[in-house]
Amino acid sequence: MTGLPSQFYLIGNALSSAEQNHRVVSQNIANVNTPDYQTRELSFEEYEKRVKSGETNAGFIADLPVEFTEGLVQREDGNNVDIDQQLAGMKKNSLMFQTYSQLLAAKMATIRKAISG
Amino acid sequence: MPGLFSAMNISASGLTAERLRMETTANNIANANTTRTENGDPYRKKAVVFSSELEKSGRYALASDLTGVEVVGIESDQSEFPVVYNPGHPHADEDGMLRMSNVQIPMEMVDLISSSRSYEANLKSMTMFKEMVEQSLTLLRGGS
Repeated sequence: MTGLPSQFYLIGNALSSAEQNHRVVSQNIANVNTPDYQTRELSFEEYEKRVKSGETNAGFIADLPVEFTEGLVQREDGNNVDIDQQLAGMKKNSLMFQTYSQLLAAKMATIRKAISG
Repeated sequence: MPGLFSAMNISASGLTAERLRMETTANNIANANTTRTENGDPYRKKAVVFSSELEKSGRYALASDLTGVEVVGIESDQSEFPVVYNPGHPHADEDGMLRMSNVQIPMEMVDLISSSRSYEANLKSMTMFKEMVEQSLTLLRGGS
């Protein structure tokens, strides 16, 4: 795939992973008071490994693997969710989503202009 | 395969759990001076127990396996009841000692603030997801 369709595909993938990242952050925030809960994050390394080993098809990223975040301070109840860090991550991710979304809109506007002249 | 709005469900589970925690705390505060319940004992402080369903699965789960938080039960605090001297009270024993509820108001207030803040965080996450979906919908309308 080349040209505009491949760009749509790439931006679509970026949007999809941003949506999944939001899901993981939401999970962390929802479990901020769950004892023994470990903070999670998307693992692109694990995804790459799976694609290389043929376990997952290299295509549209619909379902990324999730791993435990390392190097966080654990609270007394075994939970290591840092709520501020998660909220900041969520905002960052939301801005990335907005960027991708506007990029896609711009591409679409280009095509529309080409068609209508 | 997760639904289109499954991120919404995760935040919603957090809202439900925190609301239940707040209700339990409110019940504890309301019963802080209850000296007799159905079984004859003073009121025992109740606490909700949260659990994450994902804990059961392995290290590498998929993003679609995330299901939020679940309330697995409401348990009573088995710590001892404090005893105060109050001979005028109808529930006091022969020596005038009265067993009080084991609810500690300051602890409950801290719990209340903590659950209120967590509720806000979950709500924020939900609002942000809503904004993301709205942005995608704008694309369909042909706007920017």
